[in-house]
Amino acid sequence: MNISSQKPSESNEAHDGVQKRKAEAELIERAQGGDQRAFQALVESTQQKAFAVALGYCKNRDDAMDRVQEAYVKAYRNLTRFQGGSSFYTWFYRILMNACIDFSRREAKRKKDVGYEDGLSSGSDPLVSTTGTLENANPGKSLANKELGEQIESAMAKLSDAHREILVLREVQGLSYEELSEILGVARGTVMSRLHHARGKLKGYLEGYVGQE
Amino acid sequence: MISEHKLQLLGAYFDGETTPEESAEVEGWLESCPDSRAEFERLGNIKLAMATRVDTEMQQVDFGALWKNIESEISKEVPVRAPVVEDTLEESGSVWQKIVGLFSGQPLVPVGAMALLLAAVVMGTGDELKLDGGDANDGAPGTELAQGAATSEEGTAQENGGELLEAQSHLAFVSGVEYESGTVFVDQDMDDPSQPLIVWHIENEGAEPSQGG
Repeated sequence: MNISSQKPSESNEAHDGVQKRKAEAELIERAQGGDQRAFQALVESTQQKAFAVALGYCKNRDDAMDRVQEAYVKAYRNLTRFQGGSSFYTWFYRILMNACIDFSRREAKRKKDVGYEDGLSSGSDPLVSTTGTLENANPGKSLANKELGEQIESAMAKLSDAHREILVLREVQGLSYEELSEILGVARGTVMSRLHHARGKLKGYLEGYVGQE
Repeated sequence: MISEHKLQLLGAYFDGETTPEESAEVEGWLESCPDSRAEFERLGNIKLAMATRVDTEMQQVDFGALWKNIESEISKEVPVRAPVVEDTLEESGSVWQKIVGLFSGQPLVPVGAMALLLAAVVMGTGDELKLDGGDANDGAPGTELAQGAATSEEGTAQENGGELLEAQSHLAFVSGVEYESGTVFVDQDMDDPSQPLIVWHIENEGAEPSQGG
């Protein structure tokens, strides 16, 4: 790209991006040397995105937080293997996804083994039981949020891993197609097609909540 | 009924991923086609529903507690490479590695192996952590060991002649197992320090040995 042809705002953004990558590289180097404060900074800069991803795979925030914690601990243990070929989050994301997929498979197996009855719509749903504060603050809104949350959770659970993953990355994290292509390791056209099919499936499962056909 | 091509392009337009020509085409549909407008609205509703669920859960999360939990986990996991081992590597490394190599990948070690192990220790080739319930002291050179797979809590580790690592402690945690007495031998593959430590525990020297690691 010809730098001189860039608009001032683009140039500033590029500069900020370089600075950010440099700062992250320094943090990684320090963390690789055992500096836990540096690793803490890496965690704090990515934890919200990580939680959003994990929530796409877990029924409640406690399970999601457990997966996030598990993934960061694994990342720390394997940090010396990180070569800096991508951003820390791109590298960490794979570890997190593996933790989430393992968890959702274990859960599915556990339910199958014990003849678990799907209690999503019952009063014992963890999501329902953990939203007390919001309910008190705004009963009408929280009821709608709760119901919607249950429906989303139930619908997401029915999707394949690939469809769930791409929806979370696009709809919640707002990654561009280019970023999706990089993080998922597929062509841009595949991103577009997979996203289209994932949305179609989710829309089907959420019929009545996101508008009628 | 909207064609697949149209749906896919609507999705890409919604994501801001269309070319100017494609955008113009989609805008034409949105102006003239009620089905396209309804589909576009559904895309917005899906995104909103997913984001709402994440926002609702995110408000309830204590990210400060997340770091504390991670910190607690990784503090137990600092890679151990006790300096004392360096001095004995040439003489003892090969013996240890031969012993370890005999049983690599084995979940349990035959009792007969302990004869070799004890012989190696008698020859002064191992790193030894003695637990005898003595008084606690701080600040010894070998305290790196206290952060590793074999940790001595409230204890002290002292380098002795570059060969023997001795620690006095009320309690030691070895790979999640608590030993209150006996002798613990710690070995590490010096060619690959990322490999887990091998920890041998001998209860009341001479009694039945056990292995952790």
